[in-house]
Amino acid sequence: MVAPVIRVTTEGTTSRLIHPTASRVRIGRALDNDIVLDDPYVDPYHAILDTREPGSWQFTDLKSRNGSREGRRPIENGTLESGALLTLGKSQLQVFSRDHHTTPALSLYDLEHRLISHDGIKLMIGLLCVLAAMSALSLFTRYDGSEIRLENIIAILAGALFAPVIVAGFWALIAKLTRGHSRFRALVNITLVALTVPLFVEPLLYILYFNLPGASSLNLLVTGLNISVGGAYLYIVLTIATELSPRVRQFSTATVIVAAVVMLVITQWSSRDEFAQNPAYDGRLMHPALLVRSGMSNDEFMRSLPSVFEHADVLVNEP
Amino acid sequence: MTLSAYCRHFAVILLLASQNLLAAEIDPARITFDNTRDRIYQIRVMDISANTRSSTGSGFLISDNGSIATNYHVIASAISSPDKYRIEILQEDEVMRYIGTIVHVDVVHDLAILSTEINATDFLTLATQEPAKGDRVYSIGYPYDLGVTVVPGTYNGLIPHSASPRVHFTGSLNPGMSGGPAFNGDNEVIGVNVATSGNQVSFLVPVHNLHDLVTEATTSPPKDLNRAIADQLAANSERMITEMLEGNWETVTLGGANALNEVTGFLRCWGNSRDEDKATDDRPFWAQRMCQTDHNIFVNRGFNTGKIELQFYWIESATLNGAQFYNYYESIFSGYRPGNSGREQDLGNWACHEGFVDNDASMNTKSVFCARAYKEFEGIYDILFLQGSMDDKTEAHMIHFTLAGTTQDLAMRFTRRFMEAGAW
Repeated sequence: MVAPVIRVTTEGTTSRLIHPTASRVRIGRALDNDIVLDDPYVDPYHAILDTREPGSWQFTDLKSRNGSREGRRPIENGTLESGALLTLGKSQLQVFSRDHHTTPALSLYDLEHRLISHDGIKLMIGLLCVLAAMSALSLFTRYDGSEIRLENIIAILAGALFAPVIVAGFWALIAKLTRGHSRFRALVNITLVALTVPLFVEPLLYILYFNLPGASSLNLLVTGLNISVGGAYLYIVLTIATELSPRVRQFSTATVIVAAVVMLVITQWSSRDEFAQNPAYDGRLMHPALLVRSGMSNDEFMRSLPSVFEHADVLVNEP
Repeated sequence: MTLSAYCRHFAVILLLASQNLLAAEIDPARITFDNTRDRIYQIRVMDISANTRSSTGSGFLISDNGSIATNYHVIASAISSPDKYRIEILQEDEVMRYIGTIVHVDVVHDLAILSTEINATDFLTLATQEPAKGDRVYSIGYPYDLGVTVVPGTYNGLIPHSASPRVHFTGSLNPGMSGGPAFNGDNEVIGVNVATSGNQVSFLVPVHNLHDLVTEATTSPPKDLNRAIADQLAANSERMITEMLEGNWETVTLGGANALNEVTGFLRCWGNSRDEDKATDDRPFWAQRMCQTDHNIFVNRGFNTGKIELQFYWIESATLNGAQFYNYYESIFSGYRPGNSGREQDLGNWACHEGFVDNDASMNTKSVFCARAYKEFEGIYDILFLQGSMDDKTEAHMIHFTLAGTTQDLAMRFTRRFMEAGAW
């Protein structure tokens, strides 16, 4: 191993790389040091890095006022390995050997790599705007002529926007703990996408359902949509926030999806013959402008009624 | 005039006067009471496990073989849960307790006949003639378990527009008097106490319905009470629906649409609308018209039937746009409820069919038809029908009916007629 490369980051500056020539590298605020740190919390002669022994760099703190730390541990005298992160005052020095192993380039074509680097602030603002617009649209169409209260509208809009940020914050915390990087922006973006997609797809499904004869299992479709969006979201978030292997991520996502479906089936099944005083008919109406299909005739409607009685006879005989 | 003749005349006057005095002293209510009280009983529905009365009513002896007449609703729980309840029959002195067995019931008119071991040759006679409006009648029973009580009142004839015949009795009937008799001045039963609306407005079942039930109980007593009740409900529904189908299907305006008028006598209509002058917000304008029968048929506690209601609901808005209006419209359209209620042990769940229907007036509508079957009464259903207009962006008309306790055939006939009525 040859002489080290030191990356220096002082507060308020971009990091710089230094290739020290001396074998005893003097570090401090005084201008005659080998590495001069412009940091008021660093002593004039703060520490010495001895690089004479290859592969075993000796760090010595010169009894500085604020001390030094390697990672999170205070260090007075010790041996460093390549990649060690030193904190002197408020400055950081990362010491690498020249043959330090560097990770390969992120792929532009790998979903995981793209997602991790997908943290554009512009995209986030755009998605937040879309979500705000969708919430406002939903508020607008639900207006029934009642008195408008500004504080209610603000509360609803704020709730719609804060919810995804809080959820993303939770994942970011996990990411920080497991990967060391919070990737907060990437997580906010993906959460916003997951929330927005159903808002667009669901109305489309309704329009299809009302206009396509035979497309009667709409509730199933909408449930399927929500479960698949939820599953995809979970997989992507696990990819960004954790270091789990693809196999584990797939397994966890599949487990959650299966659990959700099983819960749904159990709930439906357990309430199947619960007595209800009032009928649960499908009272959804379609705005006339969106309804293309023409209806059945009175006769056709009448012809379908005997099956209602047959169904009622089945229901009454359920235990 | 000789003196002796004068004296005789005076004596006659005196006698007459003293007779009047006598009449004023003894109230006819007392005479009726004294002459009939020994044939009037308290009916107790006893919980067998608790060995305590769970409800009480009144009844009276109508034959020399111990038959007792009372209300159906007094003993209804003993029909649905025969292992849980027994019927005990006793008088004020509580010396003798007789067990009552249900022989026959009339669920529609709320009557029941019990057989007992009571050994009495003296029974009450049923009047063959209806009293005149304004006649004094006397109702007797056991109110609130307070002992046998007589209530004088006025006969006010049959209630017009009633779903089933009922006498309007101006007198205070109270709980526990149900099933007791009401007498004319000749101590003949003219009706059976059945219900009250408070403030001296009370109701009796006319005695001719009891007559019919007694005849049926002697000539062809039912083998299966539930089958008999189902047949009675079906026959009653047939009577009412036939009367409606033959009724007057003229329409009257309601908002920007039409509604049915009072199709036939027993459907009474009421309506109201939003007061636009006093409105403080821009919610849509609404006007509604509801026509319904005046009382339900009691089947069991928490379970009633026989209800017929027709409802028409118009909404329109000048301020909302189409999307907003349809959101509001949908919230109302999705919330319709049947006009009668029942319990899980009485009814099955609703089965529904929904669809878009282009009606005869080539209007597009969303139509809903729901039915639920009765558990104990085979072939009897409750029906809920709902249709809403779908052609206008900011106007809508909803038409709805509930038929409780009907048959498939009657429901289908009525639905067709209702859809063709043109109440749009």
